[in-house]
Amino acid sequence: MDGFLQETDTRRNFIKKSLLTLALGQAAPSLFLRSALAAQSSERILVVVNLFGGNDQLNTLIPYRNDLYYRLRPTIGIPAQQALDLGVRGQNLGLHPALRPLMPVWEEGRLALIPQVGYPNPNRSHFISTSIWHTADPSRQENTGWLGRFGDTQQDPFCETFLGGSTPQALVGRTKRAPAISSVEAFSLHLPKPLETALEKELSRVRQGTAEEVRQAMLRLKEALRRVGAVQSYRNQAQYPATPFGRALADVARMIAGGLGSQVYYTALGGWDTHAVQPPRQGELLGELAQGLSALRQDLRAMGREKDVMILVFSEFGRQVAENASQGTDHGEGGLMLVLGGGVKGGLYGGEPNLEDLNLDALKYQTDFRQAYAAALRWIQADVRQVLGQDFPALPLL
Amino acid sequence: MGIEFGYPEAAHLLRRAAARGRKEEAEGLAEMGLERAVEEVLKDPAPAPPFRTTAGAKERGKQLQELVRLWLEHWLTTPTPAAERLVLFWHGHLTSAFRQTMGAQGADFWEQFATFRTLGYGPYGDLLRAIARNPAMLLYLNNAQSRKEHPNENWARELLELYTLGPGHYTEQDIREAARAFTGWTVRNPNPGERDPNTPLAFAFNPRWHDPEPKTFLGRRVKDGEEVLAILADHPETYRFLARKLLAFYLNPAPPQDLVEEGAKALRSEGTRGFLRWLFTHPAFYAKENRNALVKSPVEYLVGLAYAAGLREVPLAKKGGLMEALAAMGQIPFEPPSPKGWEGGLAWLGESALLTRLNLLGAFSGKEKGLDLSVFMEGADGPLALVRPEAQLL
Repeated sequence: MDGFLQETDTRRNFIKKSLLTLALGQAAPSLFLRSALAAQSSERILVVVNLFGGNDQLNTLIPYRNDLYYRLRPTIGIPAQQALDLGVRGQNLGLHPALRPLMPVWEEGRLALIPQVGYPNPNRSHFISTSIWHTADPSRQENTGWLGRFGDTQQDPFCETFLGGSTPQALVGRTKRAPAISSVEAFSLHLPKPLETALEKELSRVRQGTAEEVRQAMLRLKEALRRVGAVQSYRNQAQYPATPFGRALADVARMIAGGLGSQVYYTALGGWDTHAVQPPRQGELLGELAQGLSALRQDLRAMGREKDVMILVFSEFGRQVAENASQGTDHGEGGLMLVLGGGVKGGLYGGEPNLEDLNLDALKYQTDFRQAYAAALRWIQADVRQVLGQDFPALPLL
Repeated sequence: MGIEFGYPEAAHLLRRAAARGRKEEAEGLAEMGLERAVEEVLKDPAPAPPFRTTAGAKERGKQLQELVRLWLEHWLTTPTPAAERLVLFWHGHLTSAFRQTMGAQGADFWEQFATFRTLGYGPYGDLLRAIARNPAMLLYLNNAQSRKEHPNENWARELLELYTLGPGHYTEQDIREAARAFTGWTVRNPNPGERDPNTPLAFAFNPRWHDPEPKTFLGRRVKDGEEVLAILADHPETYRFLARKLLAFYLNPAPPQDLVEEGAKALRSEGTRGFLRWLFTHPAFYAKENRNALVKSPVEYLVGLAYAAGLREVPLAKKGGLMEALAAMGQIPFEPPSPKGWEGGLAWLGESALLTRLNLLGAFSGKEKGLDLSVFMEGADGPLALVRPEAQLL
């Protein structure tokens, strides 16, 4: 413990000295200073956003120069004049207008768009496909999550954090499961004193079966109260959407600013299962997503951490090409993935979708999602082979 | 045979069946002996009070709050609480979610719960047929808008994957064919003009939207949704799938295969009441490894706790903190997170969720005098037992 405190002290002194150097106008090592600040809490961070329900790729990244798109989607197609032009790098595709807050990221070359991401023998069940993405195992033999397996190799129980109610499979390993925190603000214990004392006593009594599982959960909660309590004093420096998803991203920023120490933050945004009256619902969700991600980027920039954070956004599948008779779309196969961050090589990873070469009315998948995972794992310096079971060629996102 | 049925067993039965009870009730059951006690627990459901709201059609948040409160208070006060725990099971199985179902109002969801209550103990096929025509469900899974020109697959898919056979027993093509069979099953507003939150919608068949051509479903030739439901209600996998789910809800999160098989037979031949009678009189139900094996869901925790404290109202409801607490614990009734319902079990014990459960105990501070925890949890010897892990278990 002493050693740890000492180390922090030394680092703080070092930063102070650098600031002093800067103030005195000596050969200002500003780059040096920045990296020293960055090293305050663990360096590189991965934020994963799971869009549950199956986001429709074709109305997110729109083939607005393709007549067939408008023929197959006569009532729900996004009009060409509304699509956000992506310039030469975007080929013939444009973004949904609600994604405007992400345009600066695209223009800086820090937004990667990966269409038709999927896996062999696609499954159109929300639950099975989500589980395949979470375990990174299309053969469905594996029960642990890909990030859970990464967590297993780490010491710190807080090496990964889920922002939400119940830790998803992706973050469940053999020996660890990431803590599930739904609100930093509300994360304090309020018990009358006698109950608090009794709780302490009960926690030391080992049990069996489910009761022991509950006791273990209580012990994890106790540790979480200590760790999360320490970041409650940090305030956000950006305006997030006033929704659970917006609040989750705001909490991610607070945790990063407060030095919680997680290398992975994970959260979800649901509601993408647009079988009927798709346009208003999807537009609203895309807006919430883009505003949230944009706020997070601003917040990270304000704390000088933008370059350290990669954000990966996925959905369990895309949707069928032709609209159904209720102005919606049914479950498809390959879907769109977004990756962004200060260290990300932006651009379009894959060509314009072929609307004629379909599988039971759905776009075929082009890119295996594990190639994107491999890039994300490299970003956090994880062992790709160990986590994914084999060496997937990483997409050149870094 | 030869189940010892004393006070601890009676308390276990009441806790599992109803998630609610006090000492004198368990004592009464113990006195009756096992068979009669089970009949007593499983008696016909008392009807719930009607849903009457002053909220407008667009005040959905208010309607939801009123629905939640009405149901929890009914569970808290009804003479047949086991029927309400079964309603919770059906609600988590044949799911519909209020906020997402824009076309439906509070009365439609209250009507759906009434269907769970009235048909919940009977043959599963009857319940399934009623839910397939239930307006809240038709709107939630979009069948109400499904037309022959391009059928909507949502209902057909979840019907096969989540409500009957389970994955692995049908193909994508079966989903498409079933979706065709259900085209035209829709809803109508019995009152012309604006929607009234207090008047439920009705089922309607629209022949112009229906695809009358023959379909091939699970290898059989069918014409309409009725035939699809008949095939599913006759399929052995339906009962295996459902028996496993019921056992996970009433016995153990990972029930042994032989019990699943046995349970599936009871379910098929005697309906859900017959299944529960079989389970509650089965030695395995009272075996040590199956006691305290389930985690209370947030709603069960809240109702159980309020009842133990002798309350007739749900705590926090007046201060508006009820919805917030339910959300933080991960279970708002009428709002399952997905068509698959709530995952349950250890998934209830995320850090924030568990913290909220503990913080709720403050609301019972000062009410220790009337607190009777003997059915709420095993081994309680005073109010301080509420912080024990066992307080979270059924």
